Amino acid sequence: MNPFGWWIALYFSLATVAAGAAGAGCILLSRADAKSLLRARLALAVSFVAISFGMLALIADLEHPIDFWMTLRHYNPASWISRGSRIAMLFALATGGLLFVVRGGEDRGNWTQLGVPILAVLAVSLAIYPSLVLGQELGRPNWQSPLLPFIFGASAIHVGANILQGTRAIELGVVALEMALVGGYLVTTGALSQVASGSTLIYMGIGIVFVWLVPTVMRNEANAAMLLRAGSLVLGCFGIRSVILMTGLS
Amino acid sequence: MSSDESEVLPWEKVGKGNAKKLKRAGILVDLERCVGCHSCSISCKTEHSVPLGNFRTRTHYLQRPGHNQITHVPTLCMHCQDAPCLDACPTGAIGRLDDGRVVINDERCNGTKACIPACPYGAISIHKETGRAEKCDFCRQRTDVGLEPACVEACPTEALRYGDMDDATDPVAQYAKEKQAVPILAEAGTKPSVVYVGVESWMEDRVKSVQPTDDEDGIIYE
Repeated sequence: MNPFGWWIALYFSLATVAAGAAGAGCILLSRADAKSLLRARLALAVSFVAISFGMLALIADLEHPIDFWMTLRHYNPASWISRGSRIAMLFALATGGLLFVVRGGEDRGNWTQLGVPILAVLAVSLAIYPSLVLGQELGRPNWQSPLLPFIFGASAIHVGANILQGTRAIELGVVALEMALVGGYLVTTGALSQVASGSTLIYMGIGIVFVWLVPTVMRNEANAAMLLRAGSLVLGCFGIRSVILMTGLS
Repeated sequence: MSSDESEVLPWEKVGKGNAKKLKRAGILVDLERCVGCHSCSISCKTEHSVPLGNFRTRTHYLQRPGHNQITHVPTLCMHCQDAPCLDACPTGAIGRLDDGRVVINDERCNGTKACIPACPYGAISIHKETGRAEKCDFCRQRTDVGLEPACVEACPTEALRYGDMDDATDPVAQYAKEKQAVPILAEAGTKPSVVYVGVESWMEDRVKSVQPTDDEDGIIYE
């Protein structure tokens, strides 16, 4: 039995997109121009939708979805899932709150200045904590890899870079970093041999196409293109996270 | 038989007041005695109504590399002193009793499944009918009234022995010391309370981490 299935892979990918989009939103909000503010609203909206669906995916993965509240009611300070569920909840509240504050597209005020640093910290936490959940699973040797937090972090930065639309060199640099980290994980853990065949190879292909190729080719300032890239990144992250989950045992 | 012993009838030895007070409950598995009869796993299934496809106790049949010799290795929850399942459970449904046993509180488990990959021994699974995590608890309902776990009682060769691993006067602890019993997969660092006599390194890779299933591919008997 594979206890962490595709619902969890979907959640991990949505959390990555949510964290990256929120991070980009924070950077855009710190700029003074109106265009950045409009783009920040879209980034926060993407983030809020992603984390909302992500949490639904988490609930769907439970054997008893109706009892999801027990995860929030009973806190186990040693458990990264317990910590993470609170991080995700606070993140959703902060993203939704900040989105509400900038809904008019004009007044940013003190609420924005207060919300941006809080959301930035929560975004970093949300991006990294899934790797710590995996690291806590001692029965899966590959998940003990020290590269996992960097892979999850780099993925979130990749999402943010796609939304910020910096220079081509920066985007390609982030992609190269992510590729190197995922490759390093597969080689150092011995998971590469498991990727060579079967469904794992298909998921790896999805990851490569939708994380690396599609967003890199689809470079466009239009908001519609940004949403398409976000969708593509969800698919791509899903592929890569599925591979990581499927190759837990070396 | 002394006159004192004759006065105690068998059923009088059972009851809340007869539970042994152990510092650290544990089981010793003597692989030199195990004949692979599956009495332990069957008695466990019967005792706990474990459904088809779930295993609290398993007996692995392992072929020594390069030989025809088969070795039988019973496995169960190791009741680790540093139990990773305890840390992984987000709802705190997994707890520890005073004697070190690691037990699951069904009412708190919502089926997150985080405990399953946390266990290096593959000792935890999701009950097919209840959807809650389940594992060996050293037959709490039996040991709490002075009986031995079902697997220990059913073992025809005394390959399994239940006792206090932290009490130097306990016969099981003494036997463990005499036979130099060690945990399997000690490198996981979880300090198991189940120790083995006669375990060899080649056996360890075969007994770790993954629960057998009876999904579409048919039941795996181990």
